[in-house]
Amino acid sequence: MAIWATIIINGLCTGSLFGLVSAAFSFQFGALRMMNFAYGAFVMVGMYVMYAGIHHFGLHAAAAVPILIVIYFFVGYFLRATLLRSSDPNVQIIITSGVALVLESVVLFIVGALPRSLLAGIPPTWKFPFMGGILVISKLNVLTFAVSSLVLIGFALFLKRTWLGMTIRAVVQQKEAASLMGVDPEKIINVGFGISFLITAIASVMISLQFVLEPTAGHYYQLIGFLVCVIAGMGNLKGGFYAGLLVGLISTMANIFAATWHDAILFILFVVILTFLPNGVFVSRKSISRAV
Amino acid sequence: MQSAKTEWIGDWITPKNLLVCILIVPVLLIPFFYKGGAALLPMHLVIMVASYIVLAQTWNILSGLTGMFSLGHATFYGLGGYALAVAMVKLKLNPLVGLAAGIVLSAFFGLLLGAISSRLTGFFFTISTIALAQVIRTIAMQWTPVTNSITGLKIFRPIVSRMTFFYLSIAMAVAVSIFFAYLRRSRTGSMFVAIRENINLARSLGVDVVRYKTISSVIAAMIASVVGSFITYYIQVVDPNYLSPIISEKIIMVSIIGGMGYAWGPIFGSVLILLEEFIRGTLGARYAPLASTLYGVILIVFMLFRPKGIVSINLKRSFGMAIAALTPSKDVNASVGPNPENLGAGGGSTLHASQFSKEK
Repeated sequence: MAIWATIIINGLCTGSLFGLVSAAFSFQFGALRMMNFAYGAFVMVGMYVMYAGIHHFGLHAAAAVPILIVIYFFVGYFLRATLLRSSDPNVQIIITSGVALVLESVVLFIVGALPRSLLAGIPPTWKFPFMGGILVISKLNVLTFAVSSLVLIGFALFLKRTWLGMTIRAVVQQKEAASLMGVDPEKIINVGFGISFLITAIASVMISLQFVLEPTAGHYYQLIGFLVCVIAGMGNLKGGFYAGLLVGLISTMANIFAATWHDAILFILFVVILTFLPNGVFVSRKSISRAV
Repeated sequence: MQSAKTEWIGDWITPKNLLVCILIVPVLLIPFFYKGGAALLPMHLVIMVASYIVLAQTWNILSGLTGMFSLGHATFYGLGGYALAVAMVKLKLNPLVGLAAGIVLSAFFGLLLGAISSRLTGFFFTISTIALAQVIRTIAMQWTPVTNSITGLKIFRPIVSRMTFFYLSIAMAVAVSIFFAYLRRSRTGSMFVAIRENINLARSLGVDVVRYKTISSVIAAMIASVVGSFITYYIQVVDPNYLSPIISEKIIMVSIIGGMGYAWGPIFGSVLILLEEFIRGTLGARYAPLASTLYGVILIVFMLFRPKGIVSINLKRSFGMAIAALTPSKDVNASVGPNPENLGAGGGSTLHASQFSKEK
């Protein structure tokens, strides 16, 4: 019993991380109408930047994280401003695939294919007696859950309450009307893209604390991000968090019962949901732009 | 369009096509230029380029003509390879049985893709192709008793001269390219283009969209699977790298940089496959990942400045503009101005896919 409670709690914590990873993509696709296929690659690069900052430049983690976040905002801004100006989805897919190819091969060239890990040893845990057993909760998992939910709540508040957030929503809903109100829609979409990269940076930091670093890790997180978005319905940030929790649970269970088929199970689930419930499992009746 | 069937052979015998046929002759003679073992490497490169031409043509049928943008095309290639290897190594069967099994398996997978595309379009179809490709790759990695996991399967075959593979691959590339050009002009191909251009309009005019999408993906799957079997038989090993996303990206790159939806596209784009071998040969194996970097950069640059690919570059016009820029003479400017015939994808100067299509 205590073992199952441990598994479920840790699964939910991993799931919150998946929710965070998918939030950036969900916002880019659902709200800004940008297909970002390089987004897994950017998660991977963020992980390596953290690794390099801590192990090679001797930065403290608390200093490396803000630097990464600031860099990523500008990367996102200039990526949209220079390469992704086209609104044709196929062009966006091809260009971002090209960016992903460049990032992956450059990382492969610089660091090699050998997997690395940021943390050495077993992360510290809390132990509680629980229903005749011992409940083991990793402190890192709790931190992940806290950071993910805080970032997502903060992002939702930002979109709802601040001037910039309202401007982004206005541009998403009606570009022409927003530009009549004196807003430059292109610039606002650039800024929105930069902000979505900010979330990518935070997600990559949290992933790098828990999982192995590999040049090809991006593919996996990208598909996880797609899966979560598809379950939640594109652009549905709140549903995305719940869907992330669900995927985390499924992933943990799959790891326990059929570890080797873990990926296959997740991706078949992905195709089945996409085919039969294309609007997502957590569908709200509001339009996508409203939900954002 | 109506008289397409009666005049298509006559259309193809043009000075430009004949010129290309003459340019192919030196490639065919490669085995005789070199003495002894020196010919092996050039022949290997030509075999790889030719097989990428075929793969890119199949992707061109699926995505360039029908508009089903797939990012998991390596799946068909890998299925063909694995079917051949499993039939030969595990079941001790004739390679031709493996080839047929691969074709059937891929056709089945193509049917699945067609069925999915009846419900999903655009971006959603694209990501489901990635996910399915990942599923097949996981199966290849994990179903150890059959696929031998990461090590892959090594096949033993009677010694066949490399020259056989060389001519076979070129014949395959030429045949599939001609098939593509023919398909593009045929009634079925017109249906594909109609679906790509405006699916709702096509549906309202009575095109059975699901049927033609399925036909397109099954044709592409079957041909790509033959290439997979061919390459596996030639290299004598198959491993999960056959199914890796990098292969899919290379196929797409070849087709897009050449010119998506044109028969000449993959033929021009496939030259880029040599870049990797060139970097490996000149700078050493350590620098091999940089080839992928260059592929990415070239892909981005083409997408930004030449989204229609190499076939859309009009040599006469660019050359003329260069001359006009260099010489401030009035006569040259007068003769170079934008000729309406030369504008757009159907420009008339060289090596144009427009020879195969009147409608573009």
